[in-house]
Amino acid sequence: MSEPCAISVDGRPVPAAVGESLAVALLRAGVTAFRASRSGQDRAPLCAMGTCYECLVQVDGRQVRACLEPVRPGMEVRTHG
Amino acid sequence: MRPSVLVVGAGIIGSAVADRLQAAGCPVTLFEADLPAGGATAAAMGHLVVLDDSPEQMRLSARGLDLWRREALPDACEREVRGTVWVARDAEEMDEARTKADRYRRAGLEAELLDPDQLRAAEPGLRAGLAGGLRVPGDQVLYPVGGARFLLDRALANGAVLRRERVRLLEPGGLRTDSGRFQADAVVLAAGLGCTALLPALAITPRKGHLAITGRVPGMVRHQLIELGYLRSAHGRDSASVAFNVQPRATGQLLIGSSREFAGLDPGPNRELLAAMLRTAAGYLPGLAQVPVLRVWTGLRPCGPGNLPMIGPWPGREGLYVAAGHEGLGITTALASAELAAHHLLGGDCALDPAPFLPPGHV
Amino acid sequence: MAEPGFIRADVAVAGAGPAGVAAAVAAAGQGRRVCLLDEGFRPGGQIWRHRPGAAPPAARALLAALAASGVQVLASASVFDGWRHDGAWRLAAATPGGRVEVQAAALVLACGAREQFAPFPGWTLPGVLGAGGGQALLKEGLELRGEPAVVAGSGPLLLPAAATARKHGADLRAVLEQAPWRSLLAMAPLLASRPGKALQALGLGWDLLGIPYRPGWWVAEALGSGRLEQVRITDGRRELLLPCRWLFSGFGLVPNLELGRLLGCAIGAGALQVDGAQRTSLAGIHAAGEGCGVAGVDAALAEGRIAGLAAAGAWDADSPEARSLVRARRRARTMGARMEAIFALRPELLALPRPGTLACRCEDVPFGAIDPAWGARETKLCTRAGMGPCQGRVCGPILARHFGHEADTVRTPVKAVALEQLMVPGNGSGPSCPPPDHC
Repeated sequence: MSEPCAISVDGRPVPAAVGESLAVALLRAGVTAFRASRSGQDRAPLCAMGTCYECLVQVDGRQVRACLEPVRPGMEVRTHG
Repeated sequence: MRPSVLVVGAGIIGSAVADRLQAAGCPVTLFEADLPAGGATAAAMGHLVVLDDSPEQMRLSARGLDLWRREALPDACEREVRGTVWVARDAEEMDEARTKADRYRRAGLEAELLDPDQLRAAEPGLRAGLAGGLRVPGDQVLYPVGGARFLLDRALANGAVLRRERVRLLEPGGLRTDSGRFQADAVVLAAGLGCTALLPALAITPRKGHLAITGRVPGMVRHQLIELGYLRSAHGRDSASVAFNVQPRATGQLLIGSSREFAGLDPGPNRELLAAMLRTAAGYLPGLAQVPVLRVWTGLRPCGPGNLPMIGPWPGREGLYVAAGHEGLGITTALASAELAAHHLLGGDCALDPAPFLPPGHV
Repeated sequence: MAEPGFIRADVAVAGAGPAGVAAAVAAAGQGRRVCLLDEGFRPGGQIWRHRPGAAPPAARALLAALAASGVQVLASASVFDGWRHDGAWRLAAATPGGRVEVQAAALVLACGAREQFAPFPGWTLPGVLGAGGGQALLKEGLELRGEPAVVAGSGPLLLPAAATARKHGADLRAVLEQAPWRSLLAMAPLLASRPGKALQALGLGWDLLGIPYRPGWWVAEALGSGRLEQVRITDGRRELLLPCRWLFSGFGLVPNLELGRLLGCAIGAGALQVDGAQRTSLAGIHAAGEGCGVAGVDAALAEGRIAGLAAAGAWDADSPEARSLVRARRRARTMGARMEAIFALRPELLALPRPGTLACRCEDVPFGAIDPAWGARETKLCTRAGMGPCQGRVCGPILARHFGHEADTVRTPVKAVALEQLMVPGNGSGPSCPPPDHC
């Protein structure tokens, strides 16, 4: 099992495990709006394998797919929420 | 009694010509071998820009922009009044910017010189160390397929007929397709790269360009940005060249160009030229390096023998007119081209002097 | 910007699922230098997704063999381009450290498959996931905390997804299979001849005891404001409303053919065409697993090994091992083909979308905006459907089923990548052109 760590999501601290999927960490923290669609709808993971691009979030200023992003301690995540 | 007209090609030029003539009362039949607006029009950037490679080009592009301004366009055309900022790398380019500003103002167009601080304020994404720029607020952006289809739909609503078939042969009094002969008072050849097959003396050469569209980065760029060296790339005919040209879209995506090369009809991307184009763009906008590229495509600009499109009667062929060879200015000048074509077919006043655009061979 | 990484190998394998890992291990076992690339952050692909240190039993031996094999594994590497250069194949991949190019005489394409989605009103609500997608997140630690969940759609993956959901705390309300009972009965003889599979099925049945499993039912609509709250399910006659916070909905798999298409491999009936040694139509390129047609993990393992041996120049069709692999492949492929027929999508699903239901999620293009008379290209030009970051991977199969659109030509980049990954020329990859006049 990997070690627990803290990441920051939209300014608030969220517990996570090092190396786990960021999508899982965000869903566990109750995030429902990962990104906003062209017409402003909330979107969240669909395919969970890097194909659909619905789980796009900002990590340390870069736009990434949360389902392909391993959690690192202290990462700063911005969602649409 | 208005002349009947057959228009060959339903790209933006053919659609504009058909629209204009049908509105003037000419019964128009438009022929399209492939997809309306599916050729060079579909690959175009849709930058409605006044270019001053020559006084004639300037007049044509300014008139084209003016006519677009007067149209009430539906949302599908995605028209935006973005303005252009021409970017100067050094003192020499800044001098060019000043000359350009004079030319624009004398033509009655708004043009504002920007020093390095003003350039930074206008476009914070640009790298430090640039010499300044020139802002032309009247330039616009349009979704080319939207614009072309708008003109086509209006022509059809006014009674024009669209035939989705390939024209095989031009002949006196009309043309032939696989369905048979069509006769009319006039034929307007506006088929872009397809012109040469029908009229071998009208040499239209494909000039390939690359475009890349990014994911969403709202606010990174506000105006359409072009480097002052762009016209050198467009004007020159020799080796492949790239020139910085970036367009912000309403979605927050960026459309990145430009490149030019003569590579025949091969639509495949040239990876080295693409890389050079993107390096150039990131050189001006360092933030671009991290932005995702969603798609890359190429387009074949229809390039005539000179630096101006050919619009007018074809010498020695009664009833045959051409509107072709627009290179990178098809979208900007479509309505002005249609105006010139209508002048030749119907007479009457014309805002532009048609002489510089006459096909070669006229006295 | 740093110089791109450059790796020379004998064999480059794209995709580290069962097929790719099997191919890499096989080629390395023949003494070849192998480079294995995958977009995910650890090998295993989709079916073997796991939390760190918690690989599924079926995968452990092969993953351990990989770790011991000397294969150079590039994780978090998105292959976005491929071309021929100087008599070898080149792949370009985007990695966190920048662009990497791999040059190899032989390639193995083991790009797997992705979930197929069938849209219904409300399918874009947060809380609606793929069946495979949901299962993957559950295996990676997603907790459902007793919230009501429904598994729906079609195909053999629904049952394992349901079992996983239950195991991870879901209050699983129903498992809906759109295929009717009579289609499912055709599985009985298949299972009878494959005792291992039959045991698996029984095991799943045990895991799911007490859960309503309804063949011939499907989700007609997902409801909720801001996120999923209920689903309306139907069998075409009756309707029920179920509370639901998690809907795992998938309709089988679609092979990932983009890289193969880009390279120019021949494709037929929706799959890469390969011969008995897993060779594609292009010399030096092999393919294995779902890209050759969806047929499951057993096919992937057999074909991966065949492709790896062939790429290493060590394929001897007459050897005992070869015969055994060919038998395993045949059995798996036969089963796969029969499953495709059993789980074919029923026409009622095509009628579910309303005019406002989205066909393309990236560009928010609703079904009502698409003229059925348009072809694929015209749809793209008039609506931008398929022009978003997923590059048509989600909406492509949808547009094909609903409107008959054919797949488009594929251009680089086949995955959306940061601009800086494309800023490097990829030595000699284009027609030779003089250095551009610039800057």
